[in-house]
Amino acid sequence: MRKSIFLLSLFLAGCASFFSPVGPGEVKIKDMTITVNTTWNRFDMSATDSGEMWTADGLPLDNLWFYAGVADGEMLRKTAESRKKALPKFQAGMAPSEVVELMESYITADGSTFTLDKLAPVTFGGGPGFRFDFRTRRKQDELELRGVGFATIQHEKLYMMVYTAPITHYFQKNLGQIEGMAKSLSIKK
Amino acid sequence: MEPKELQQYVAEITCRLAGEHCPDVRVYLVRTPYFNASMAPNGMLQLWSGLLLRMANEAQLAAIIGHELGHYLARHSVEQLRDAKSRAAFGQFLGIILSAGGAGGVALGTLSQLAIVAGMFAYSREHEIQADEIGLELMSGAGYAPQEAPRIWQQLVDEYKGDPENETTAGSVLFATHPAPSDRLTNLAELAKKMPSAGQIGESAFGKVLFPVRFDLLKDEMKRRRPSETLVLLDRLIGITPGDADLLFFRGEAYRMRNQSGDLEKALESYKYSIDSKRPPAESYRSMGLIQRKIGQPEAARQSFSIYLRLRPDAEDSDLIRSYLEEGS
Repeated sequence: MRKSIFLLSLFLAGCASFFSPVGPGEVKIKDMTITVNTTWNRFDMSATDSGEMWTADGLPLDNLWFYAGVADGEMLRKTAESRKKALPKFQAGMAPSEVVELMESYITADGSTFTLDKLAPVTFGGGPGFRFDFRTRRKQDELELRGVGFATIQHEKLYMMVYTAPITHYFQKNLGQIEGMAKSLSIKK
Repeated sequence: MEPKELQQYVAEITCRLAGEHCPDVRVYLVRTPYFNASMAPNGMLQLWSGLLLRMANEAQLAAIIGHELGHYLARHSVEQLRDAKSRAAFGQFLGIILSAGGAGGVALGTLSQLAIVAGMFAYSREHEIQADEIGLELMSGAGYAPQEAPRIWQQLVDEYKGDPENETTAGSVLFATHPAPSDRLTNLAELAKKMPSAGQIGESAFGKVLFPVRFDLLKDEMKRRRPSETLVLLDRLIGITPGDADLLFFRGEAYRMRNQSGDLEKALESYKYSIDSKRPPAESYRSMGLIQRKIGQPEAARQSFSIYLRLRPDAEDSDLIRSYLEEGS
């Protein structure tokens, strides 16, 4: 019991350092630069070779993933060894619908559902890209989430941002900001 | 899962097998692309949709339900709970002794945990064999062909062997808690030989009831991302209903997903079979167009995309496909 109280206090004290504030203003993520108009929280433990994850209101409520230049043959994120086989890797020749399928397999890996609502061409990162809108029912708590992703493949690398939040309130609350960020995003040549 | 007809159909088969126990058993269909069924001691029978997709006929479904009823009638879960309790006590005891010995308490603690779990698996394997026997008698007694029971396991073994990578990995959880499908197959086949060979198979009855949900179940199946296994399943299903446009479409999707050398050509061929068959899904045209676009056949891709948009003008990806047409393919 004494041990678990000790661990708990260590965890509580350590919590603040799992996140670091980002914005407002210009923020760099590897080769990508975006303009943010409020402060977001970067989840430091999420950082991978090609991306990171942010949240506005907390991890259970909203996640904003950045994939800043996933190269051919790489996975979207680091993942447990046991799951690696089931999760596909990015290939430079992928069509937009195949990139969406790729994202879908990461989202559904834990048994969550995925329904694509819309897939349309847009300009993203200064080049031809696409936007996809989807819904997912998160396995761990059966919560209905909406999601939106923006992506482009440039110099054989995938640049993408994907935002998910509950259909109730939170998705709509931040959608305008997300669309603004997507518009502002540039990629270093 | 929603569909009432399927739910009712499964409930009727269950009653036919369960006889006087029918009012005690409630069937729940669970939508998940894996192969499993389970029975709780209170009569809650769960059937997973990945199992339904893999049944060739009504007799095979009856074999599964009969097996689960076998667990219920023999009160296996109650026995298992009691057993788990006594094993847990033993495991705790073992843990205390070992860690008191001073050497690496954590690792040895894990070891005694493992002993509990491994013991339970061995115990449950015995139960599986007993339930197989009861199930076979129930299905045969209800007039189904008992020879269909071992075939289920043959089908699973075939699918599993379809992916060469399975040789080197641990494989499905099912195979850990249950006897190896090949052992089970032999055991069931031996038992079935002693029973009347004639009986109801019900291939078309089952196919008809499953059909309204089958497209969605196949979509779920693709999400497992085991295209080599899925191809074995699809080839078997196509063998039952040759020229089925939906199955041919998904066979194309599985080849496209696997994407080994020569697979894109095989995918294209399968989509072509699909659209030459009766009532092809619009998606066959879209997927065909995507491959044609990739391998440098812009005119063919244009045609495929045009037909797709004519069939599904409001498709979720219609804007993107329209943009392909505008840029020339």
